[in-house]
Amino acid sequence: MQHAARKKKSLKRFIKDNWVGAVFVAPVFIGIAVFTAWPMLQSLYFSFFSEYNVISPPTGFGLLNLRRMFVYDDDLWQAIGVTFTYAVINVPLTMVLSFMLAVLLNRKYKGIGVYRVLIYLPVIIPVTVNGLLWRNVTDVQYGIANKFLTTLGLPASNFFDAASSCMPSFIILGLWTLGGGMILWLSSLKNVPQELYEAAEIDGANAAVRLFTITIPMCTPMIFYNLVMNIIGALQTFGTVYTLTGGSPGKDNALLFWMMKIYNDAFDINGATMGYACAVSWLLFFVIAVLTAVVFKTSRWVFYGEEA
Amino acid sequence: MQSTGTVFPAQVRKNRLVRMTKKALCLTGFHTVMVILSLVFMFPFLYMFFMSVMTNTQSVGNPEVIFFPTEWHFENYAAVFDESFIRYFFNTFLIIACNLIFVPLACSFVAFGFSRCRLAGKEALFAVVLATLMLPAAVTQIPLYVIFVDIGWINTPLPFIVPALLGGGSMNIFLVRQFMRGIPASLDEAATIDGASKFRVFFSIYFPLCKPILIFTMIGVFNGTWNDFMGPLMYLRKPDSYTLALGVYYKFAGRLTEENFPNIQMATGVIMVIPSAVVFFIFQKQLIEGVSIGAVKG
Repeated sequence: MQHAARKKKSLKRFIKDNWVGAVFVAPVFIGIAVFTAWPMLQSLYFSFFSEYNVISPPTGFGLLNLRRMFVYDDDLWQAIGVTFTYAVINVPLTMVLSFMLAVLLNRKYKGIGVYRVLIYLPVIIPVTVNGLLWRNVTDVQYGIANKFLTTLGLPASNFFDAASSCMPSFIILGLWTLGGGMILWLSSLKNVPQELYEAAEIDGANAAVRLFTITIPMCTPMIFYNLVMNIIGALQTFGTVYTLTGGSPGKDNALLFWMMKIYNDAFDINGATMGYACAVSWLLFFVIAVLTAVVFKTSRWVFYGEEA
Repeated sequence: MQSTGTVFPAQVRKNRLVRMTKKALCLTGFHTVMVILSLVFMFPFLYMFFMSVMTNTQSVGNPEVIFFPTEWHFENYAAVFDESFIRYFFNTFLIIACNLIFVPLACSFVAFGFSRCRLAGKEALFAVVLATLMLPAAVTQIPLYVIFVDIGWINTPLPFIVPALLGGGSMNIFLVRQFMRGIPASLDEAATIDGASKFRVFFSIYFPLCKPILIFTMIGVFNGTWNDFMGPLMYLRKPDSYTLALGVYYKFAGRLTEENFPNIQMATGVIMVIPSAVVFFIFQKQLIEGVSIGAVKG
């Protein structure tokens, strides 16, 4: 009796202590439940149905989607290949180049801020405009890019009209947004303690040695952050390529990215297969989770400052 | 003594001259490289602007492909603002306005709960919020489409407003929570002794104090909504409901031909870049500081 009473009292007390905090955080959990958790459960459920087009109820329950994924959907493997090729080339390339830009611009010269702003500016171009703009620039016949190339005595390119030049063109055009990575690097370069450089200089270390023994090790937390974010971002490439090609997967599917494949399957006018799209998006989720876990597990090279 | 006395300053002067020439050469080299780089990075803007003032024929490379316009047709900009553009603009504006009001309120409200209230299992709950950041959008977007079809939200701005109301985004909550932790707790203790409720403390003390970080979240809200392409592509399927990013995409989906008016396309592009550029130049400092807060979460 007494025990139950105490229990009741402690529950009352628990509510009294926590209700204010609970009210404050409630909105986000309602949001997560309604707009994240519930859709995820639905997605999981749909992914077992091979026929689902939203208009009529899902049919074809079973593991057919799994079979389609791993046995006869060659396009999916093309898409996975394209996405990984892009990630493997683009992530290191943009990280190294934006780091180099940041090191170059991490000086105290007068007016250096102007260069930083000018190099950063292309990042603010809305993705739609970005697509329009580069589509015009790279028009094989009338675009300015080929005009520049031929004026410089270089061979004209087929850009997005040939399978072999699709991916290189897409990656090169992406370099105009290096400024986004650059300002992240600049902010971490600013946090490297100046006395480390002074000490190294007294020891006679040249610029290259200082870069590899001080700057890069001190930037490892940012390298790690960028690596994780860039991998996640690269695997989900969609808007930039979609606006650039006008929704087409490129010549011979050379730019059929994973997300584009999901979108196309979900909204195919000749028979949407939402269930399959859900299954493929779970595969993407799984791959991203595994890759992120691997990066975290192998992150012993990240230097978070001297342990006390 | 005397001989060294005469040689020494000359030597120093010579050395200094060598050093200064070297430094000047270095500096010139550096600036040359940077000017070239800056020009390369400015190319998209120059290209858009120059093409936007060309005649339609010139813009499609007739009689030849040119970079600099030979005539300046600023009236092209008037052609941007047709009926559909204005419609798309208002659709976008409505979404942005709602988000600019609700997101800062919603995210600071939740962040206050996480940083300044007693709550059992707070850390674990916060980890759940952060975990949603890692989720790829793909796993929720398609089922969300189905849900939005069921509740009649397709072709309305609701998919872009209501979710933001509930919490205002995990990243924003994280940023505001970080900021609130830096505010001395003695402030609200004093207020609590005076008998103010937590809600009053939030609205009258913390919300106003969070202004700097809330400005940063608002910049993010603006840019995110102004640029968002995939969301509208999925949830807005009638031209009447298009946002600018989507409407402009559909309007000019095509090749570099006269029927597609590349000059008007680029004028539209310039117009769409202007708000982003204005926001960038006004809030440059907050943007750069905020970026580093977001990245150093470890």
